[in-house]
Amino acid sequence: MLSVSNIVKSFNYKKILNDITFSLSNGDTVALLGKNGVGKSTLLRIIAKINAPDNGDVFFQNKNILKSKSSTRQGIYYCGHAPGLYPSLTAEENLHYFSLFHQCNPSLTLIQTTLKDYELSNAMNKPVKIFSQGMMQRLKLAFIEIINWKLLLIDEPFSGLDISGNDFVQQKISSWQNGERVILFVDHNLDRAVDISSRVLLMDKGKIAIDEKSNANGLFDKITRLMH
Amino acid sequence: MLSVLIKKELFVELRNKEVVFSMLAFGASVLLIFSFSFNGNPKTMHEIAPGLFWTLVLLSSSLGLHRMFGLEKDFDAFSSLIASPVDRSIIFLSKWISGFIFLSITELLIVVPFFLFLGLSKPMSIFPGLFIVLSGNLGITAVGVLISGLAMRARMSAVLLPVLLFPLLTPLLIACVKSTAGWFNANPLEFYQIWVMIMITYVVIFGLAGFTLFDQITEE
Repeated sequence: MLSVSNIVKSFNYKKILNDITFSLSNGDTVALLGKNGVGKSTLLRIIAKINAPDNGDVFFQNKNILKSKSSTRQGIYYCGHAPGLYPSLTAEENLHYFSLFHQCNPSLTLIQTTLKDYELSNAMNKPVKIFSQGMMQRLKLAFIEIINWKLLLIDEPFSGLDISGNDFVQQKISSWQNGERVILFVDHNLDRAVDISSRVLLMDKGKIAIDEKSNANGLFDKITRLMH
Repeated sequence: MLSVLIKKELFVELRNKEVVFSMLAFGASVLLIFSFSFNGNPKTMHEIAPGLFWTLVLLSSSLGLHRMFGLEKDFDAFSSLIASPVDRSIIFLSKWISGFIFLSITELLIVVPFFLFLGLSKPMSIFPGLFIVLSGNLGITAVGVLISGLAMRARMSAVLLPVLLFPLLTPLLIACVKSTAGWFNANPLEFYQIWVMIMITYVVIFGLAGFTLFDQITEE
């Protein structure tokens, strides 16, 4: 479904991503791991076409999304580290507009039910600028329920959540995977990332240092060695 | 999709009231300074009025254009927007049209005090003036949205925007001032049509440039 080939990206003449190549197939839930500053978020943003690579290509459903029309990105949903919302609009309004941008037109009932499911029913008519970090994170995740996606790029989905929120999102990630989709997420908690994912990509020195199934023998030791 | 994006721009502005209010407040302050500074005879005022009007528009619009993108930068909504499968040329068009609407509303509110404070007489016909002003607005917002899109990712975008914007707008503003002066003096169109043509050329060139380049300039 997704094929990333030879991605190179530099910031201020420093090469952050150096020839990144990997492919993801339907049903993959992939944890993208690596030390801080290794370029995990940048890689997600390149796949989402927010950042432009210096070199390389990204194919989604056999189409080069970096060189094709925006409609070829239909089915990719990027949930970044920042809120990515309009602060003055309410949760309901943000959901409504972003759904339209993703060619979905959810009913008000669906929006309200989803917000209730994400424990945001009391805040659905309040501007998101007054939301706490945890509420904001829940709202961002609520988008995932509404928008039709095939490839989900999610940067630190557990950030800002309490223990119950962590368990909730962990369950959600499992429920989002229906065998036809691909989830690529960034996480800093090694145990949790390996637990949720079916595959692990570990970035080191601008390259993919480990690309293995999560249940591979000795994976944990390999990751620990590279992360320290 | 264009109508959805424009509706969103107008809706966000309706909630914040930042773009029009900031332009209006700034424009009113500049107008007040002008009215106290240039206390000349009516003939002199009549001669410098077009220049004063477009200076006021330029200064106010740079503030409004910065806020237009600033509102999307605050929570990084712009990244979410460009990550969605929306054609970025359409995003440019929506910003251009909404910017044009905001600037025109501001001018509509400021034009009467402008005539009153500077003691100007009412022009003979309104429509040529309206055409000149709206064409000028289209040109300013086309260049402004293009440059704001370019500058917004920079750390000092508030400083960078006027530095890039003002030199690029200078030829357009000269054409705006000359056309407005021609209209103000009730000259026949032939006397100032070259300046009107320059304005229209500016709108077409920068409109097309924004439409084709917005995809590249919004990527980091």
